[in-house]
Amino acid sequence: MATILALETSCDETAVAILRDGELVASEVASQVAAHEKYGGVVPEVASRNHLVHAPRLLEHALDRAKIDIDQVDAFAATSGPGLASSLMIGASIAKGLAIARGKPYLAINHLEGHLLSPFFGEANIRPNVSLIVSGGHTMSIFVRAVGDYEIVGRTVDDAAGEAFDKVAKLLGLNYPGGPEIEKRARAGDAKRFDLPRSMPDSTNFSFSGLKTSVRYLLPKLRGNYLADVCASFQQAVIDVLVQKTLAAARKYDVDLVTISGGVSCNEAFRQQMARACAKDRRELKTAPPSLCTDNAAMIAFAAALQFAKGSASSVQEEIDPNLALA
Amino acid sequence: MDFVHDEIGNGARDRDMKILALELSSARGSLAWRDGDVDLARDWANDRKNSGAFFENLADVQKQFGVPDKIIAGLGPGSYAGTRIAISTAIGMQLGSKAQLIGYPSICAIDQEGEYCFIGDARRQSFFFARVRDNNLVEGPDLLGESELRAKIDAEKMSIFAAEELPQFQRVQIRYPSARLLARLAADTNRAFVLPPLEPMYLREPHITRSTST
Repeated sequence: MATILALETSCDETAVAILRDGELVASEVASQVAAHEKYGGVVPEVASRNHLVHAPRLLEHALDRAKIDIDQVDAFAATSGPGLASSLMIGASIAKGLAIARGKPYLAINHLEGHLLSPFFGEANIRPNVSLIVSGGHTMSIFVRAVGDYEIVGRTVDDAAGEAFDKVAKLLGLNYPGGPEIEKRARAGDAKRFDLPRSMPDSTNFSFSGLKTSVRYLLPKLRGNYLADVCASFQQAVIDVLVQKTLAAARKYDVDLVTISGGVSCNEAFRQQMARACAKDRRELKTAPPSLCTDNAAMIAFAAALQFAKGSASSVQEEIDPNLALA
Repeated sequence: MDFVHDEIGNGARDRDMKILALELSSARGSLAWRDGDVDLARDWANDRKNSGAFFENLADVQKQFGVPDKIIAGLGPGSYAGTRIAISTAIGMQLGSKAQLIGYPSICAIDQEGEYCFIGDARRQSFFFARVRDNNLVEGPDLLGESELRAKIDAEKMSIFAAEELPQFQRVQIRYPSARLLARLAADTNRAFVLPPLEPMYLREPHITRSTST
């Protein structure tokens, strides 16, 4: 077993985590939500400036919390993509500097791999599964044969599901990030009141742009108290698509395990409906704990630990890649 | 930006201190190692998308000389991407080596003695102007429009340098900031440096285009 220090700076969260012999001994996250809220989305230049300010402090906190010295770390890891170039370069360069100074391995980790392995956090055995990553930046389903052996089943052709939540929240005058705001109001709403589209039903890919546009065209026609019902109807349309396509992929690849990860997988209604659908289909559902659903360094440390155990390491010359592919 | 005197060392120059300098603010990246009589510097064509040459050289120098006592990073003004990579790497190196970390304006570390002016493209039809005397920043960097800068340059008797081609200003000579000079400056214990948290020398607030619709 090993001690891994990982950084995650792919978007707007600065995060540092330390994993020791499979146990998470530190996980620090500095959220930038407040800094980006007034713009209704992430501003890359603001994110990059904040990463540089937050990262040194988080590294110190993580080492203090873990009660270890830097020379006890066996490998240093960082997210190398996909993400914002000006953000990725901060975490990756810090990890490379650490690895060079200590003469230890550097591991460049794919952010998406961190997400898709997060439901297995702390486990050594990764069973074949169909994994749905659903967040503000990504919506894709993947057939996972083993660690590092992935096949993309479907991905969004336009907006990510979380992005659609944010955009619809903005149309409704709700705060950023939109997911929790819509979920909160949807609890009191009638999901059947508005018949919103479920796009591309026969494709393995996803599309949420048309759904967002439908809400935009719907809103000017509405009068009175409609907010909760719009939220519930929109949320249900997203959930229906995610559940239906993920289970179709599980049937196609004949796996008995479905996993979900990413920020949108924190949505309680989605979790419940996915769990019911999996149970009905006699498949197991594995979810990551909420703390591992939003961007965090613990999942990067876990993915790095699995790679490290296989004897993998990256060159410090390996560049970040904002469009890094998973497979 | 606050400049703070480096208090380490008693003499004017600490010859025994191992110093690592990182400079990536321009199209010519460089790093330098200074350790007593050893004064090694490497430079390469640097661009904002590829940092492989930098890390290859850094790993090589570390393998050859070990960990430094002091790390100095060039803070620009110049390429934000390059400067961020230098600072971030220095943060990692500092934590991994327990070295002292300091920063210094890159434009004060060019191969030119005495007083000079330094200009650069600050994007969006603006430029920066700075004045350096004996490797100290004594004016700026200030943001100016093209006509303002031209008037300032025309009235200026000093040499004017830039780290990139600026064909609209004919008197300007190209001169790249140098890690070797940064390392030499870092050995001067009477000089004022920027202490952590280090940031690039930002010339303006982040440019944000507010969307009018989703």
